[in-house]
Amino acid sequence: MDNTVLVVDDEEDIRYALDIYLSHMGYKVLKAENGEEAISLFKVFSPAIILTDIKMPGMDGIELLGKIKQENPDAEVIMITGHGDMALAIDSIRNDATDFVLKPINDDALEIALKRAKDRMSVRQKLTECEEKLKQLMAEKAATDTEHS
Amino acid sequence: MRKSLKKLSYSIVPRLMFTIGLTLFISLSAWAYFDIQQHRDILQHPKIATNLSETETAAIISENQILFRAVFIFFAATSVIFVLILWFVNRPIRKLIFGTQQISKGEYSTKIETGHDDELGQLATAINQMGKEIGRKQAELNQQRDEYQILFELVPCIITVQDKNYRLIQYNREFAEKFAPKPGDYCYNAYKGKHEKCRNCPVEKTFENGKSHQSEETGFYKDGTVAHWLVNTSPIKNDKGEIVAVIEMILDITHRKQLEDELEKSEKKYYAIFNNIPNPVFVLDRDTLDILDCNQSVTSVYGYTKVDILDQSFMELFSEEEKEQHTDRIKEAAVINQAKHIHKDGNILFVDIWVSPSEYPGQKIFLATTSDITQRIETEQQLSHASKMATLGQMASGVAHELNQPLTVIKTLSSFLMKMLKDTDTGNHTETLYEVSEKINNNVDRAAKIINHMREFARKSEIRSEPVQVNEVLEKATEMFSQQLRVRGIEVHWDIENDLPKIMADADRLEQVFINLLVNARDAIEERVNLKEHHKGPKSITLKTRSNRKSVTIEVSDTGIGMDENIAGKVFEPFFTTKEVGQGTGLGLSISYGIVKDFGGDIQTVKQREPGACFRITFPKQDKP
Repeated sequence: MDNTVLVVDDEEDIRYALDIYLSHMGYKVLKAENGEEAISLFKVFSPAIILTDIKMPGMDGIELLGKIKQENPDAEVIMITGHGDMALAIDSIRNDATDFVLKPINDDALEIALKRAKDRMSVRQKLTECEEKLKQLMAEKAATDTEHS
Repeated sequence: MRKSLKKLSYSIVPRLMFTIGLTLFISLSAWAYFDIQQHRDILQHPKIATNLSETETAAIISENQILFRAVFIFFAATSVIFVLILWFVNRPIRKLIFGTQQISKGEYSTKIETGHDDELGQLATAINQMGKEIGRKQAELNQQRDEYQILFELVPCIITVQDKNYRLIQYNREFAEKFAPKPGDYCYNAYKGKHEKCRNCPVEKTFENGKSHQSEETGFYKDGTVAHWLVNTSPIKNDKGEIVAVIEMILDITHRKQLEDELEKSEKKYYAIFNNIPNPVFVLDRDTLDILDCNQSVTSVYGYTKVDILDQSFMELFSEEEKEQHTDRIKEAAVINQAKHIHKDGNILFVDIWVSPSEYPGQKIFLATTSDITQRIETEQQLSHASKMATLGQMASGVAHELNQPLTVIKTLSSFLMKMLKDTDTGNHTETLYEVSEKINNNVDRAAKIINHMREFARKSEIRSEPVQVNEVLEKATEMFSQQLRVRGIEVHWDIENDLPKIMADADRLEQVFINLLVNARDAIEERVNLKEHHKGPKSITLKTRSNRKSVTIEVSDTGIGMDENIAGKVFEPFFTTKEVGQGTGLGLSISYGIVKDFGGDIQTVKQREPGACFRITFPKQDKP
């Protein structure tokens, strides 16, 4: 399973802290300091998980979420938000964000969010696999049917 | 000498003597004549000599003749005297009598003519003179009397003369014209249409003590107009000094009375204005600053009645520390702003004072007007508090956002550190390092909590309100909390009014308020229990709801440590906390306060007999739709 996380935040120290923390947890971390950069990185590396701040100069987290979902609806986007932006956080869930974590980021909360993203990914993967299997079975069945006939 | 002789020649005495002389002469002459005639007859008659008897007869005859002669002479003489007297005495005297009668009848012009120049003539002249003199005097008297009569009639006031029964004996024209009295009318009837004398009658008093008396009376003129009079009386006495009548003089003072009435009305009007000026007005003595007068507003503002503060010094109204400082300023008639005055009940009033010098009749005074600005000052304070709050709110949201950033960094890194240290064994320092990281982590949490509260506090959410059943919200809040309370052995007593009317509020925010109060109650009880000497005793929270016609009241009381008055006054201020550092943010109650106010309610601390604290929240009842 893809282990890449794209961290989007306008503050360098936060990017740094998340980088070091997530790296330690075994993730491969990509960093972007604004929405535009994030999209170009996303297009190149198509990371499975995106961790983005909501309040950013220029393109904000919500807009970024929309664009990424356009590129790849299966991308798991986790929003980082301050307490005051609760409305925005809920807004983002409505726009199919995976989860949101509040600043300052509680490690447990972050881990739960990441786990959730991964669970969704694995469910999706399993689903795809099952689908594949089903298709395969169908194809096989179709073949034997023709053989018999 | 010649004059006296001449006078003598006109006198009546020689005339009388002449008359008597002439009479005597005639009498003697007649006597002599008769005597001679007789003697000649005797000599010539022969019988006389020869005959005695004849002589005797002759003698008898002679005697008869003598008697006859005497009678004749007497009558002749008497007649002469009578005629003379009639001529000289009787006629002039009759003329004199007639003349004096004429004088007594008032005919002073009649002239007595005796036709003689004698004493009677002179008497006549004297009487004539006297008559003339009397006539002149009488004329003078008459003129004087007329003058007085005219005066009496025309004097421009009403004059009546009354007897003891107040019957009008006499009156002047003014009276007659104005009152048209009936003959024999009584004073009280003529003036006032009454049937008995007035109660306070100056005429009666004058009859009693003979002195002049005065009074003011009100009555009607004959045309029905109301009139006011000033009455003056004085006694009229007879020769013996007895009071036989009283003269009453009346001056019409209607106009003056009307002016007086108007003056009184005007005075009443201005007094009413003075009294009803909404600001307290004091009249002060310019030297002593004693209160000479004040209006009614003083009572409503200061609680003192006029009687309380009259003759007290105006400075007594000032608070002790300001008394001296303001005395001079008042004497300078300066404007004093925000002076501290003391209400009768001891409360402080903030007042603006205007002083203006003025004149009272015969006295120099100050007019001091005060304006109670306590409410304004309080409002200003509240406003400044509110604006401080608003600024704080704005600051809070800014600060919260800014602080969140570094906190995020610290938090994430400390989490990382902790994870690292957990995962890898780095020797002996691991434990210490882990502890340090943990502390960092915990403190970030604490800082984050503050920020959280600040945000909450600063949140400018629109107020959504809907009908809320307070009991339900209270139950919900307690339910959330019940586990915590049970663990600590704190009981919850319910004293709920069933069918409590609904209020207009936001149930979620209201719940926040209740939770906040429950948290505080819990902490207060904990705090008390932690103090060794108080660790026993009930641990309970009482929740009470009540309602009246207008409002719904919720009381949350605990058996905690309680608070003194000083603290009670501050609990709603932001960042005020009695909890240990790290335990509370000091914003809980101020947020609650804000929420309650948002829904038109009020929250306050209530003193109670039992130890512990009690908060009372009041909300207006929901208006029936």
